[in-house]
Amino acid sequence: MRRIWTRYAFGVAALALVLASGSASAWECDFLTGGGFIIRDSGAKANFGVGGGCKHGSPTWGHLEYQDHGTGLNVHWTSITGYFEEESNTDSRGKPIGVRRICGTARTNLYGDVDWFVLARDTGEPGVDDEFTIRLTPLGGGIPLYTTEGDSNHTLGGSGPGGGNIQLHNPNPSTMGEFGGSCPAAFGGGGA
Amino acid sequence: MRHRNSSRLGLAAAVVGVLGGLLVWPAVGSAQLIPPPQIGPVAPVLGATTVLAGTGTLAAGTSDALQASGATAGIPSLLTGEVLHAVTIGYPDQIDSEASLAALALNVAGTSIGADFVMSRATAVVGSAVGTSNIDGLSINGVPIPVNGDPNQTIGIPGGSVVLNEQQSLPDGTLVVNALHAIVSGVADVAVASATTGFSGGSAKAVQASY
Repeated sequence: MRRIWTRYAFGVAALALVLASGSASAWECDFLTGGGFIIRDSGAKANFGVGGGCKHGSPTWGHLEYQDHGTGLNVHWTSITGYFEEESNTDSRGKPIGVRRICGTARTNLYGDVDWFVLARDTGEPGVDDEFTIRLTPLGGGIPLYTTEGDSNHTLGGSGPGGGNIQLHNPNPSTMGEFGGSCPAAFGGGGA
Repeated sequence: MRHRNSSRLGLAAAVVGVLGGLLVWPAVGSAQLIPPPQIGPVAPVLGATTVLAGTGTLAAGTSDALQASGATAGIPSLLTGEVLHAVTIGYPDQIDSEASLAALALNVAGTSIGADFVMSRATAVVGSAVGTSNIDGLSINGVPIPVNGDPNQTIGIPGGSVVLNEQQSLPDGTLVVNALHAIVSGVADVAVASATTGFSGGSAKAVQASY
């Protein structure tokens, strides 16, 4: 009997530790993942899959795949160069929501090699109001070659067009680092 | 036409699972969390098995993040898709797995299955697991198919079936969520957007096909 209560107390203590660590690390470098599609103002569909975050102490984990069926643009990531916190909050259930900027380089079929950033917003479940925005620039930054920033609607669903879901995930204790890195597509050649 | 599909496993089972997990999870090391291998949702009984954008398996209790992606991919005469995406993120007490792809075109034994976008997600936290699927613009042989939001919605096709938001619990409680699973006996077994989480570890695959 004593062993049972000892193990139970151990479990309760572990749960308390988990809850405490979760609340204390809410805005430490985390992960964002998602997939879906947006509808461009032209009416064309653009599909994407994206991930970003910190791993092994570096904000360079992730990927990007993007295809605009209006222009025929195909973007395939080649590196992740930065991961930035833009907005952070929690929803009514205490889950993290907000906006992250993921930056990197990519190979495209229309512009050659480019720098890019994605702004991805997780508004909570079911994801109908999540948002996705992308910009491509020449390597090193400069005038955008392609962007969806001017579109009237960036959502993945709800009252707007599009579909999919974007999800913010909690920091991973052994692999997290700090937000940051370089983002030439947004800030030129330097960091934030 | 766009359809959404979302569901959760039983809340009562989750509560029981959490309490059970409190007794077990902290008492053992992460290496001990892995039970004997379980049979996955797609039994490779056919000639070949192909995985597209698979993360591999992340052991339960491991703090790490695995990913896979692809611009486009396909299996000749069977399937094409684009923007393939798969991730699994592990914590000491949690695993999040997610897989998706867009522009799905699947042809199984003469049945054409299409979808604008397909995604599954699965999360396990100390003994409880939940899964969801998103399926947009599903059609079979060109006919739009409404997605009712329930787990394991099954649609008959010649020689087999298509299961939407398929949710399978392995004997150790590991949850496997396949957003779309098409089976034609003796011909093909294709899971699209598959996310796994639980004591057996975490993994995600945009496609797993046996044919």
